[in-house]
Amino acid sequence: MTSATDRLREARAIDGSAPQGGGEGIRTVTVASPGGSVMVNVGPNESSVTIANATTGASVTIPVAPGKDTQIPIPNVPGGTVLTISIGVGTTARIIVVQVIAPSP
Amino acid sequence: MQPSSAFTISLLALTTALVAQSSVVAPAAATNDDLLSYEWVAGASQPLRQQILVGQSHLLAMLGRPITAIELRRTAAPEAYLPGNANLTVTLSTSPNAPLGCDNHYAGNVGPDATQVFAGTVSFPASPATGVRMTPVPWSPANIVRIQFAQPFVYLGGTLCVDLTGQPIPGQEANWWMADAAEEVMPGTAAVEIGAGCGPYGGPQHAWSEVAHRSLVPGGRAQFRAKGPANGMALAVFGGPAPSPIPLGAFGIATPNCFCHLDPGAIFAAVAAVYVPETHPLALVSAHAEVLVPLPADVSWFGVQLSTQWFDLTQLTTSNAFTWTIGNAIPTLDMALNEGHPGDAKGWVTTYLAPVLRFEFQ
Repeated sequence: MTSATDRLREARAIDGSAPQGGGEGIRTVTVASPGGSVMVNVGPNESSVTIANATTGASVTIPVAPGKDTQIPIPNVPGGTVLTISIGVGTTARIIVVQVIAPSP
Repeated sequence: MQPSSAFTISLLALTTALVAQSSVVAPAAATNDDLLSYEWVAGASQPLRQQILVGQSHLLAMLGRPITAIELRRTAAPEAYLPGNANLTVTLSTSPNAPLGCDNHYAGNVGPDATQVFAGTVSFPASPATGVRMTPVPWSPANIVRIQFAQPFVYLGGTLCVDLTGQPIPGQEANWWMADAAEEVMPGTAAVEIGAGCGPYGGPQHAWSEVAHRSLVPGGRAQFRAKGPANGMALAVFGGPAPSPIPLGAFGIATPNCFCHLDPGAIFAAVAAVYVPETHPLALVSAHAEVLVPLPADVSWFGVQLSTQWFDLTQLTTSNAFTWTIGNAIPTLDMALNEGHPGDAKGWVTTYLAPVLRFEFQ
């Protein structure tokens, strides 16, 4: 059975290079550094963005910034961790995937 | 030239002048300038319904006049937008609601004079990069989505409801084609965590509930969500914070490591909600429950604080708890946006954010 993480990695690969997700209504880059941040552009009128760890299920919800370009902190997680960035729920859910890349030694 | 010919030409010129097109932009500040925010456009990439309520304060210039077209202008951004097409229907009506009272049920915003003024394909032009945000973008063909009405709509005053339903055309999606939008930044809203949750949801911190603190605007709806098992049920409890966490065992509920963070003597309300299954293929959570609390548009609510914690009735677990603060201003935009999936009966309302619209009228 395919794990959630595998499924998300596959989705990230399909999405291609940055910025991804334009057709989803939100977009950001495809990879990020642990402890860094990414800019998320939010098309709909949702008021918050959620970043979730596909491995642990931990999530943080952040208000959409005025002007809608919202800086999202990336947690200090191991390289290879897959994160989802989402807005909305149910039929209005928009979800894109970011992979955390460990910095070079 | 014969005198009668000159008269005919003069009469034609006069007639042309009398039916000449005029336009008004809502809000007027966007007539020549790009505004703070942006919004996606129905059908550019996804099925979408957008109801835009426009208060009379923006529309006085076209009182009693037939509206013949509307236009959306791209937002200023140093990136080119790709062209595309979408199928769109547009219905105009006089809404029974002022923008600040925008209903999240679509049907509640539609007036009895609803008229479908357009049904067909609209084009998103290839639009070259512009300056950065809030630099002027002209209303030129390369920057606008124009919707020419098949049937005019006479504006007789009141709140105008512009109801757009868009469907993407496979292979012709414009995708990231963002329209300019007005946004008021509402001060004073806040949310602070006051206690941890328990149970299988929300990761190591068991943080499985949240409030959208930008929704804490007087006149809007405060938005509370919780993660849980599909089709399970939970209670969102509102009140004051407990001086210290109370084990659920104190209430005869034998769920270890679960605590109540609200003061049992200061509970104001409890609202039941069902966890609705998530269907997005990338969703990490099986379901969400949502509770919306209408916040009165009254100064007496400015800065009011309450605390919220969810109680999962299926698993007998408690969520993280937080104290939230209502903002200390009422939006003055006099526009509202209610948007969501066309197949749903209701959408999500913002009274501080709405797309810029240019109305053409005779």
